[in-house]
Amino acid sequence: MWKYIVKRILWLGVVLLGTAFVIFTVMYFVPGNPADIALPSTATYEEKQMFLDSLGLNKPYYVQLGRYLFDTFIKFDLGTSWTYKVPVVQALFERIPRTLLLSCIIIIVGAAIGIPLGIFAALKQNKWQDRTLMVLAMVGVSMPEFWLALMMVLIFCLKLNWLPAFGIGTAAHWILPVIAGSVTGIAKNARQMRSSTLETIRSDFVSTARAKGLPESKVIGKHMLPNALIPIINILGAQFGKSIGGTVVLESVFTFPGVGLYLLTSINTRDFPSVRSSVLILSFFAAVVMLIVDLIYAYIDPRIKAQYVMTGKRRKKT
Amino acid sequence: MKSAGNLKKKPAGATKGPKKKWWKRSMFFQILQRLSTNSTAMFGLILLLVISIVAIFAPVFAPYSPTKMDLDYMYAMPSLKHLCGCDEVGRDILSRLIYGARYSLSIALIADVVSQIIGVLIGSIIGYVGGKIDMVGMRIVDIWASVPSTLLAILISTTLGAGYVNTIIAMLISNVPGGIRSTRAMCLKEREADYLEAARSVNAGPLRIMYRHMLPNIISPTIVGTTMGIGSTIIAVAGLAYIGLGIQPPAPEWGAMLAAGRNFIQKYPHMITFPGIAIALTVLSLNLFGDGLRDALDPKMKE
Repeated sequence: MWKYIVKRILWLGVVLLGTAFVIFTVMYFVPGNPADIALPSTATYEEKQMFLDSLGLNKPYYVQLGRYLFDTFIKFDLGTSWTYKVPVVQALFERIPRTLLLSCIIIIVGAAIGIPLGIFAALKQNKWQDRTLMVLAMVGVSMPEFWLALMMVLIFCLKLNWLPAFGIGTAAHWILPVIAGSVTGIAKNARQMRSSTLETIRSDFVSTARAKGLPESKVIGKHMLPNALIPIINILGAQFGKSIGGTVVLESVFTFPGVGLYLLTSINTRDFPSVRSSVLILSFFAAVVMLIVDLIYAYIDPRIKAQYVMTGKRRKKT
Repeated sequence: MKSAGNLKKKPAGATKGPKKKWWKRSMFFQILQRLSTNSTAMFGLILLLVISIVAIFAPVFAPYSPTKMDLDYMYAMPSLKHLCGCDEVGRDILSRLIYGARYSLSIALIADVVSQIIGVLIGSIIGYVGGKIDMVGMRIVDIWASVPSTLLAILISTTLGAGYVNTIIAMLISNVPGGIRSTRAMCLKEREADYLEAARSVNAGPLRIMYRHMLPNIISPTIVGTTMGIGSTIIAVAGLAYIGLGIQPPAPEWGAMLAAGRNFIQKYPHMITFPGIAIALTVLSLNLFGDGLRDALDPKMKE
C-alpha cells in the first residue's frame, strides 16, 4: 500500500510539471507583444525593450520555459501581475481558500444529497418515486449551472429579496453559489448511484445474503451499499475537476471574489502571468483532490490493494 | 476486406429469419425498434429532430431577421407579435434563439464527433497494444487532462481569440483526453475476451482485430457517450460565450445572449429566461435520447 501511495505522489509531481508545461506552451502562442499589453501606451521603444529584457521575454521558447518552470517549482515565484504590479501569489493568497472551500462544499453537498436519492430511487425501481426523481435528475443534468444561478439571483435576490446576490461576507452569500453549483452534481450522483445500486441488487452475493435470512436493512447496509459506492467514489474525483472549472463561471455570476473571478478579470485585462498562475493553481488542486480520491479508492477497493500487497508474478494476469 | 465480411454475414442472417425483409434484419432497424418502445427516448429524439430542423431551416422558421433592430420594441415583453420578447436594441429574441441553435448544435456536433473519432483511434491503439505504448500514452493523456477541461478551453480561447472555429478547436482539444481514456478502458476490458482470442488464433492481424472485431463491440458505448457529450459541450460552449470568450455578442449565440441579458436582469428577466430554456431543452433532448439509446444498444437487454 505504501508503495502505491509513494508512487502516486511522485507521479503527481510529474503531472504538475506537465501541467505547467501545457499552460506555458498554450499561453506562449498568445498573439501580440507583451510589452504593448503590460506597459502604458506612452512607453517608448527602449522602455518596452527594457521590460522584455527584464522578464527574459526576448529569449527563445525553451529558455523561457525553463525559466518559468524554475521560478514556479524551485523559487515558488508565480511572477508579477502586469495590471496590479504585485506578485501574483500575493493577489491569489486570500482568494484560493474561498474557491477551494466553495468547490469542496459543492462536491460534498452533491454527494450528500445525490447518493441517498440514488439509492432511494434504486430501491423503489420503476415506482413513481423512482420515475419522478429520475426525470428531475435528467432536468438537473441538462441545465447550465450559470443559467440556474442567474435565475436564482432573479428569484431569490431581486424578486423575493431574501438573499444577497453579489459579493461575499456573511454565510448567506454562500447559499446561492452552493445551490447553483451543486444541482448538476446532485443529479449526476443520483443517476450514477441508482444504476450502480441496481447492478448490485441483481448480483449473487445479495441473493446469498437474503437467502441466509439477513434482515433487509442489513442486506442493504452491509452488502449492497459498500459495493455500490465504489464506482461513485471514483467519479467524485473527476467531478471536483469539473466543479473547479464550473466555479470560474459561477464566480463571475455571483461576483464571488475567488480565483476564478481573478482569472476572468486577468483575461480581460490581458494580464497573462495572473492567468497562467490562476489556471496552474486550480489545476494543482484538482490534481491533488484526484490523488486523494484515488488513494481512498485504492484503500476501499481490495482489488487495487491486492496488486501491491501480494508479491510475485501470480497477480500479473488473472 | 469489407466484401468478405459481408459475404460471411448474409447467409447466416438469412437462415435466421428468411421471411423478414433485409432491412428489418439490420442492426439499425432492431435498435430503432427497441428505441421506439421507450417513450422518454422517443420524446428526446423528436424534440432533438424538431430543434435540428428548425435550426437548419432557420430562415423559414424565424419570424424576423436575427439582426433586424426595431427601436419601437426595445425590451419588449413577450407578446403575440414577439413570442419571446425583444432585447435591448429591439431584436426579436425568438428569431435569435432559432439562429443561435445553429451555432450551438454545429459547434458541439463537430467538436464532439471529431474528438470522439480521435479518441477512438488513439484509445484503441493504446488499449489494444498495451505495454509501453499504453504507459507512455496514458502518461501524456494524464498531463493533457491535468488542466480541468473547462479551464483548458478557457486558456485556449484566450490564446486563439474568440470566434466560431476557435471555439470548436478549444472544445476539441479539451474533449479529446476524455475520449481516449474511455476508449482505452473499454479496450482493456475487451482485450482478453474469447472472441478476440479466437480471432488471434486464426492469425488475424492487429489492425483487423482492432477495427473489425473489437471496434463493433465498443462502438455502442461510444455512440452513447458522443450523444451525451454533445449536450455537455453545448453547455460548455454557452459558458464560454457567457464569460466573453466564445462566440461574440452581436452573433445570436445562446451564451452570449445570456451575457448580454444579465445587465437587464432586474427589469427585463425575459432576456435571460428564454436563452437558458433553449439550452436546457436542447441538452435535455440529447440526454433523454442518449439514455434511451444506451438501453437500446445494450445487448444484455435482448431477450
